[in-house]
Amino acid sequence: MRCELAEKHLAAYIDGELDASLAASVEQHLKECRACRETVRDMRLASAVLTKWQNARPTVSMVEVIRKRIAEEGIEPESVSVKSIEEIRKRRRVRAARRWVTKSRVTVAAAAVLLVVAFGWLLTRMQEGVPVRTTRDAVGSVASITLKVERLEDVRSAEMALEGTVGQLWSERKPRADVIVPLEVAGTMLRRASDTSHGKHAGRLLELLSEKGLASRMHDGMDVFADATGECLLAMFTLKTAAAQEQPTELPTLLKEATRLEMSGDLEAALGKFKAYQVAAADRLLALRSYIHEAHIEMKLGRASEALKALDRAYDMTKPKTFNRDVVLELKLRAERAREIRKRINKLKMELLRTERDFDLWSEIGNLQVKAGNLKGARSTFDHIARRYDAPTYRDDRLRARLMRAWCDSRMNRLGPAQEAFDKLVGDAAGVYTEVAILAQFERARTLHLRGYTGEAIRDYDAIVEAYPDMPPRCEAALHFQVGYIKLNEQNDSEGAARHFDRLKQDRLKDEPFSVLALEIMAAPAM
Amino acid sequence: MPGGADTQPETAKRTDEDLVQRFVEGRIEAFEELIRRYQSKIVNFINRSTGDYQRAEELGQETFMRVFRQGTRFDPKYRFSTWIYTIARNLSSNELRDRSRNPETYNIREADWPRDSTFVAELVSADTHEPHQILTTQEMRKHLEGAMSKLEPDLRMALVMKEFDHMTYVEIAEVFGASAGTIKSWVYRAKKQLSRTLKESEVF
Repeated sequence: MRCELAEKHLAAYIDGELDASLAASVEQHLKECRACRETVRDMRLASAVLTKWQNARPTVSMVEVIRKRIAEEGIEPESVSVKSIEEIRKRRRVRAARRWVTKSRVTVAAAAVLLVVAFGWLLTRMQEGVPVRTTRDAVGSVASITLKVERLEDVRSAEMALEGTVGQLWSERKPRADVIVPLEVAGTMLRRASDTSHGKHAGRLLELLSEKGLASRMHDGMDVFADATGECLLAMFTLKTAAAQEQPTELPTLLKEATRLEMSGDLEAALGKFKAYQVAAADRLLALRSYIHEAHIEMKLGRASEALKALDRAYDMTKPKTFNRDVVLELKLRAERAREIRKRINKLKMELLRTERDFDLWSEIGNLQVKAGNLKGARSTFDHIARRYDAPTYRDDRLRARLMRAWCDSRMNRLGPAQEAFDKLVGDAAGVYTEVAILAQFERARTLHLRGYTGEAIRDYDAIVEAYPDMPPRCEAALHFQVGYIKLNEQNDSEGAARHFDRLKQDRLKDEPFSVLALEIMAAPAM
Repeated sequence: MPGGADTQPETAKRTDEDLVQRFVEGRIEAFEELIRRYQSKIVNFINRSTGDYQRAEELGQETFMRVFRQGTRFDPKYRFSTWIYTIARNLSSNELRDRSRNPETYNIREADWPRDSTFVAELVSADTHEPHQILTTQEMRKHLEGAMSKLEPDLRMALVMKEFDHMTYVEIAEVFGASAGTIKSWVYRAKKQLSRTLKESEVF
């Protein structure tokens, strides 16, 4: 018997719930394997410590108390059997099935995050260090947002605030992986967790990541940020606990439709629906949410003043010292900042009319637009750069502009065009601008995955390993882990998963945190 | 034991399910017998799940009130123990959730903690040569409680049912409406995580 198999049975073995022949095999294995012996020892010690936790002696007579309460409150047993346990069970089974169906979507997001973790190093390679102050501020603001999430009525609002911060860091062309990753983790998890029942699975993954220290120690010497990152994770963790226990809320059809449009990238149409909903809204919190969505979309479309109008209305609907009020204020701040940036952009545009160094100006404008959260504007600027500067000297800049253009598309949820663009970039940048090529391939795989083309995404992830043989072990381990994880969770292919996880046993990779994580997942029974 | 005097031998011999049937028919002494049978289990289960003994007593009362009110919903095809643990589990979950939403209130509760004095007493009299020699009882309690509180609520409750209430995986699965396989993996994960945390805090 091998360790993985033995470990599957250890719990039942310790609990004495294993049949004799299996127990004998486990015992045989324990004789030969020190690691498993230690696991058994530790678990028995844990049980031993637990048994010391004796029953407490009651301080009141329960029978007396209940007797009194029944008499005082005049309660009687319900006379009609409203719901038999069988009915309750049936409903529960339906819920479980629904959870199972929707689970795959969260796995997509969660797994995509893992790759962001792994590819942080590429970003750092491609960009220079960001000034510490900015980075720290950004992390601080994320932490403060996420920490409040547990009191949150509207998870989407926090997600929106987070996305803006990610965009800002990107726009400075120097995002540091240690900042981007927690942001992406937080953002993605929040987004998925807002689909209530998904929270649990996302949380489990986060828990694994944080247990392994992957989330907070992705890069050496980044201890400064470890705390903020840890806080993010903690908040996420709390969130998913809460989300997992909540019943899915019934949203009005109009609002659902609006959200669907927004998620599919049809921002103008979504905006129309949100506005229509606001007129008819009966529920204050839902109307508030609708205004926040509106503001967010207006920002993406580069209309900060419109966003501010929506936010003013939203502000009136919030109460002081509530999380929603904080979110609205945070968004207002960003909208105001975006308006300021707009002024600078206008000045730069004036300059464009009378200067030779127009490429630099366009680049700056594009970056500022990303910073302002104006994805539509940024997209058109990078589009302009990509089309106009076709001289050989601009080769790399053009490739980068195309990457940014596609990035804007993907963040506006226009996954189809984004995927196509990443696809072309993978070919065009290969052997020319390696970082762009790799990032494009990574983004393509991520997009494919989000669109549900899991098989293709897996092929892409595999191809990255092939294309980049001198990749650091940690990244390689992450990629194998990624594919194994998808196979296990989305394709129910535990053999395929095992094959990928097996590759992590090579000497070069076996001590990487992702490898250890993979082994644990394989060992856990019935995961 | 409170109320020992009015325990009727006849009632004491009946099965739980039988007792529910009788109390639904209006015999209050059957209900009281159920309380006697389960009060300690339920209060201690909630205490270990939530780490707050005073609340556990309140929630234990609430559990029995629900049993009383909803007794007619009970389907005698199933075990009464599963049903009452389901109620207690829901109440514990709600408690933990409320607490995570209002951490301020919880902190106050945590501050005036030491109600579960038997736990400390037991540790003092512990005769094994294990960790207790190294750590003072106070520290020990702190570490164990801390390690337990780090577990996900479901994992923690499943572990308590397994370790303290000696329920089988199948029984626990019924309470959670999950498969026995899932519960097995929860308990395994819970123990592993617990032993890791205890190791980290150098309990063993």
